[in-house]
Amino acid sequence: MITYEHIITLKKLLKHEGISEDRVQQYFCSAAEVEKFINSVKDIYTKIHALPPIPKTNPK
Amino acid sequence: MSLEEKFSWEFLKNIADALDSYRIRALIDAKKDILEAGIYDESQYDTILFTMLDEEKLKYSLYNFLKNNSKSNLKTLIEYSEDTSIELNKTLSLLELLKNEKLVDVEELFDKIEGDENNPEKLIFEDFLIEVNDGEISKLKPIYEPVKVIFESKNCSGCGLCAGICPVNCLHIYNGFGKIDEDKCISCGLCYFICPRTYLPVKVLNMTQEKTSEIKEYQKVGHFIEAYSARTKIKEISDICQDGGISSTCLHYLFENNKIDLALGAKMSNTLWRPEPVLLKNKEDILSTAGTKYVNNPNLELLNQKELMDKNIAVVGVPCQMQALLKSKIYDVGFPSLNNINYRIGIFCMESFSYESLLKICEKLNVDINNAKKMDINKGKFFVYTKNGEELTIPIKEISHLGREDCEMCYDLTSESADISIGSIGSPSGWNTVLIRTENGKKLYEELLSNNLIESKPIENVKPGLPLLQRIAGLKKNNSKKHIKSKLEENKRVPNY
Repeated sequence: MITYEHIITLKKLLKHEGISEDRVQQYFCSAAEVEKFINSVKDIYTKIHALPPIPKTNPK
Repeated sequence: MSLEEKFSWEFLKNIADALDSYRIRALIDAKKDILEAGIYDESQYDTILFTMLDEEKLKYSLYNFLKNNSKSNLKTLIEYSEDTSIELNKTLSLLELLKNEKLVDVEELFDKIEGDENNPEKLIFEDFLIEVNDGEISKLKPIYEPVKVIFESKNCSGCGLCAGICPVNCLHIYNGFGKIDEDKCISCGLCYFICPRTYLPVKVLNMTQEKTSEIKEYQKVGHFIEAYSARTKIKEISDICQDGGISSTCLHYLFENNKIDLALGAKMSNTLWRPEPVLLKNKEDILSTAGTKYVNNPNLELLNQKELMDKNIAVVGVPCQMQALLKSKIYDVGFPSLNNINYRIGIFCMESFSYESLLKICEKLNVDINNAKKMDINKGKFFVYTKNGEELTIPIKEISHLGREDCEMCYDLTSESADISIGSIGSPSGWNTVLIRTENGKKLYEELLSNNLIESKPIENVKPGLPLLQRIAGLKKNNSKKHIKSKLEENKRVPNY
């Protein structure tokens, strides 16, 4: 439950900083729930694909 | 989407560093407890968290900048402020935070000006010498402990702001003593951050009051624009006020013209001469708060009441409360009730007493405290005027040991952090000395004059005038230095001024 709350806060933080909050998603399902798993992966793929790439930056 | 193209390594590292800070982690971990306590709702919590995050990002951005230079001084800070379009006083306040978190070492260098017969030897601030402490940021021990440590080391000024902003309502100041409910406390450190006696960047407070970016020396009564001697023209107030009734008149004007919705003050509780904080809702309420009460009163405790959110507020209070409010303005804390305090009306204060001490004073004067109609401190004596017309006095020297021990740490007699400061020292009987410190205070005073609510004369035209006020303010400053020095010699905790 802590992770769940933290991810929600993270999404708000990304929105506050100007990064699209769709870049982080959380889904609650087990590997045995096949359809749900597939749909979750498809969902995040479509969402990320729709967003522009973050430009590459040079780490110091 | 163009915002996403502006990312750089520094930008992301800044966010990561800020998230790593103690205050942010504590606030995020305590989210459930805070929302359960019911004082702040989710959107208010989010505002507090993200305002704090923005402050922490600024702080770490300064830290990373200082890390790149081996040694920095005031000039580096001025250049940094110009490069990042932050005001110098904000940069200095961030430096103070870094210093207190032991992330940097700051040494102040002074110029000595030789004294002569007329002027004592003075130390003038010259420059900073700043060195960064190397080390992993998260491994350095955070110092945001609950303010219990301030209560126990007798440093608490009794302003009540810690109780007013605590997200779980676990603090309470009563009769000049602070108590914390340790079961409820979530160790978020907000009380420590906001307390005026943990650390108080006095230079930054003065710079903010004068709206200057120069570090200056100030006279003993702090920065002020104009000074007057004044008294009210409103009969209901002049019948019951302590001296000139100016603070009550200010509230009267503000309520009548809808400049504020609520005000915080002190009124007599059911026990006579023990005051309690009160929320004033209209101008009729003002009459219940006129007259000075010498027992400590933590007005700012009321700031967590739901009715204060989103309303315009004025606070009438003592110097430590004004310091706490100005500190929270400089550090930008995002609390809904703090953001709406539009008027800081300060009164002069030498020290406050506990109710029990006041009873002891009345015992020495052989008077029943319930028989007292008015109390006053004037001309070095403590006066009690009884209901049957008697006037009893005792020299201050004989009772000053009964004052609150924590008040000895205070350097501020004249509410240097207020918009407008009001008191009796310097003016004749029945009049108030008024020091106008900010544009806000100046506008308020001009309105009082143009609405014919007060009569006023420049302070130069009255006796004893400013020289007496400066002398007594200087006394308080010297006493404070003396007490702090002796506490330091005993290795006890003192405020970081």
